[in-house]
Formats: sequence, C-alpha cells, structure tokens
Amino acid sequence: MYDIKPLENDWKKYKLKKRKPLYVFIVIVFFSSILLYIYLLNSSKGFTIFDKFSKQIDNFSKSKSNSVQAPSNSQGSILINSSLNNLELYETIEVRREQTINSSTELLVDIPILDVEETPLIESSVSKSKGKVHLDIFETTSVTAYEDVERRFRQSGDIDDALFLAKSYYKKGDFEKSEYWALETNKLNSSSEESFFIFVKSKAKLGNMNEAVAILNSYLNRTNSHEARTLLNELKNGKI
Amino acid sequence: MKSRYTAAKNVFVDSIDIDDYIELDSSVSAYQQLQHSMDKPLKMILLFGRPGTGKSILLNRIQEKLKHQREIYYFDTPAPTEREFFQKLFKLLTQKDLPQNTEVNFSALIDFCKNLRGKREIILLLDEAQMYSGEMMEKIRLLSDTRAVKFVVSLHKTEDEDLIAKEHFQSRIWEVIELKNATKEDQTAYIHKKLLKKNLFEIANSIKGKNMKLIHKCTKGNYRECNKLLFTIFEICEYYDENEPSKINYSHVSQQIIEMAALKLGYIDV
Repeated sequence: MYDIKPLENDWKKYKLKKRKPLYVFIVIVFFSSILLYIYLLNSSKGFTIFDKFSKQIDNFSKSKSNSVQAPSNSQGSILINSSLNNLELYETIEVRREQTINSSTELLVDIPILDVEETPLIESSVSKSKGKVHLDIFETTSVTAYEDVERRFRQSGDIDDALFLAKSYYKKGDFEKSEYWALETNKLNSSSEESFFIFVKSKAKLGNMNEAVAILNSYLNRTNSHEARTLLNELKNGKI
Repeated sequence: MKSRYTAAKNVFVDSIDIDDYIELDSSVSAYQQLQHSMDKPLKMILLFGRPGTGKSILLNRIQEKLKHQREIYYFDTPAPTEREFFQKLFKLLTQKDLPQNTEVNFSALIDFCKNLRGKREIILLLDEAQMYSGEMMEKIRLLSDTRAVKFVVSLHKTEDEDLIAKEHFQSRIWEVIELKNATKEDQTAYIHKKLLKKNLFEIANSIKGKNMKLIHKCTKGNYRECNKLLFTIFEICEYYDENEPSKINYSHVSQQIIEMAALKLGYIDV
C-alpha cells in the first residue's frame, strides 16, 4: 500500500463533500437566527422609542403649559387639549436673537400616522421670559387623525395603534372609546397591563366603579402586580 | 515484525477454496435445497444469482461432500472449445483418454449415455455456464435427455442476459435455485466467522455494528465485494500499524479507514 497519502487526501475531500449539506444548513440557520434576532430587537425597540417620545412630549407639554400664554387671538382662543399633545406637534423655532437652542430638536417628533394638515387649528406660542427662544406649537384636534389610525388598525391589526387610540381617547376623556380600544388591545395581547389599566380606569370613569374594582381585584389575585394594587387604592380612594 | 493485520488481510483473499466455506443460515438453506434437487429425477438444475453470491463455492462444497457417495464432477470453467469439452466428458464417462488424433462423435456419445441409463447416474456441475454457446447448451440438453447425466448449471443472472428466458433452456430446467446477496446480519456473521476461523478474535471484535452497516452499504451484501473491501481495510490497517501506529485505534476499526477503502475500490466517490 503505497498510495496511502493520496487516499487520505481523497478521504478529506469526500468528508468535506459529505458534510457540505450540513455546513450549508448550519450557515443558513445561523444567519436566519441573526436576522430574526435583529428583527425582534428592532420591533421591540421601535415600540419603546415610541413610548419614550410620547412621555417626553407629555412632560414637555406639562412643563410648558404653565408658561403658555394665552394665544394671540386673531385666531380665537382654544385650550390645548393635553391628550392631543402626542398627536402632532408643529414647531417653528425662530431664533430671534443669536442663540439657538439645540435641545428643542428633541421635540421634533414626526408621527407618520397622521396626515399633515395645512391649517393648524390650535396655535400657541411659547416664548421664554428671557426672550431668547420663541417656540410655536401647532396642534390639531382633527378627528380624521384618529380615523386614519383606526383605519390603519383595521388593515394591519397593529397592537401599537390600538394602544395608542386607547390612551389618546382616555386622555381626551372619551371613555367609551378608550374602553373599546383598551379591550381591542387586550384581545391582541392579553398580558398588556397598560391596556388593562386603561380599560379599568375607563370603566370607573363611565361610572361602573364596582365592576372596575372587581375586575382589578381579579387581576390582582392572578398577578399580584404592584401597579394594579396602586391603581386599586386610587380607585377606592376616589382619586380616579 | 509482521503486523497483526497481515493475517486478517489474507483471510479475505477471494478464493473458492472449500476450506474457506462459511456456513451461514442462507448458505445452509441453499446447500440443502440443491442437495434435495439432485436427489430428484431431474435432468437439469439451474443455480443462478448475481456474481459474488457464492455459487461457485456452493458447487465446490457439494462436490466435496458428495464425491465419495455419488459420481459427481465439477467443471469450474467452460472448456475453450466444444471439442475439448467433449474430450473431457468422454474421459469422465468412459474413464479412458481419447486416443490421439480422434474426436468424439456426439451421436455415439448420446448412444453411450443411453446405455448407461439405470446403471450409473452421473452429476456434472457446470460453473460459469453463461460462457457456453447456445449450440453447446443444446447439446448439453440432449445429453441430459438420456437421463444418465444430470447437469447442475450455474450462471450469472444479469440485467441484460437472462438465459432462463431462452425457450430451449427454460422448458428443460426442472428446478431453479437462486442465490441472493447477504443481509446485514448474514454478512456480519460471515466476516466474524471468517476471522474467528483463523483465531483472529481481537480483530473480529474490533469491527463494530456501525462498521458492519457501512460495509454492507458499500458492498450491498455481495460476498466477493465484501472480501475485496475487507482485504483493503486490513491492508490500510497494516500500513498504519507498520508505519504510523498513532493513526490507528486497535480497539475498533475507524469509519475513516472503511471509507478510505471504499474510496479506493470506487464504492464511494470524492
């Protein structure tokens, strides 16, 4: 047997050929896993960012609402509905003097779910007492904005849209609709605590306090959630 | 020092030596079937199967076993010419050499055989019968019709060539015995028995179940192919044992060595 070395080389080639489908399979699985991971990461990030920005906008509105002066009344005086703060913000930053506040760019949130309306219904001008920054915020109470989101939800069944509507209607004070949309959200994700709380609060607001407390008690027994306990106390103390 | 694998290698040198005959369930069954057929008043018996299924060794075995009880002769390869075949046959029947410069008269041979009916019963085992011409086979048939000479005809059954389909042959064959390739279990027993016959217990024990599975897959249970593969496997083992002992595991034969042997013999491709 003098041809052992070529035979060993042949065997290595054969082994490689035999394992080729396995290697291909492993590579496909590996890359698929990476892609899936990236996809899942992005989709969860997207939701978090949306929430984060909503909160930022809320905070901003609250902090500024004290300093909001009565709007110039050539267009009539309309109160800013806080529930719509996260719907649409049209900002124009005018640098009246030399200084530009870069941090204001954080507030430039483009929410693509809404149509841009040419004529803003609410205009409020925010001007700093020191007079260095003049910030104009235009908001809309347009019903079509909600309708657009609703229509899109009917097509896509996106849970974020449903939750958005539930939160918005609750803030707006339309508790029947917020109850409905909280329920829709809960149908899609039964573990969504946020939508569940909106549902309970809406129930309470609609005068069904006993039912709200009973539902919350039942939930509390199941989950022992701290937030649920806090909400229950608030309900019992009549804070909601 | 001689490698332990040298003896194992030599066990699988392909031969039809009767000493190498391994009794397996399937071979015992074929042997008994053939012996039983030869006891019947049949004129021709057909033994067929693919090359390497053990036809030749079975004919050898039966001749060896019955040679002291019956008048039985084994023709391992067909005579190159018809003339030589009948010369050989003449010698067997008459126990005399054919005088020089003479030829066997076929009609006289038939008459001679007719006279032997009831006095002698001669059995001729014709191996590799697919090499006989159609004309020769016709003459063999005429001889068998005398009922003094009984023929056991062994031939390969191939896809293209199926002699039993030939009308003149089919009508006169009374019994057909088919030998098939070994099952995995039969082949395992065959390999083990062959090695144990030469007291190579450790080596027999080093061939594990998964090795046997691969060997059977490569050889499809064909005994000749099995011999070739095992010979090559032990040849590779012998090389490693003598030159690169670190590459060999003495407790079990590695799949790599079997695959290398299979590559060398062309059972698998790169």
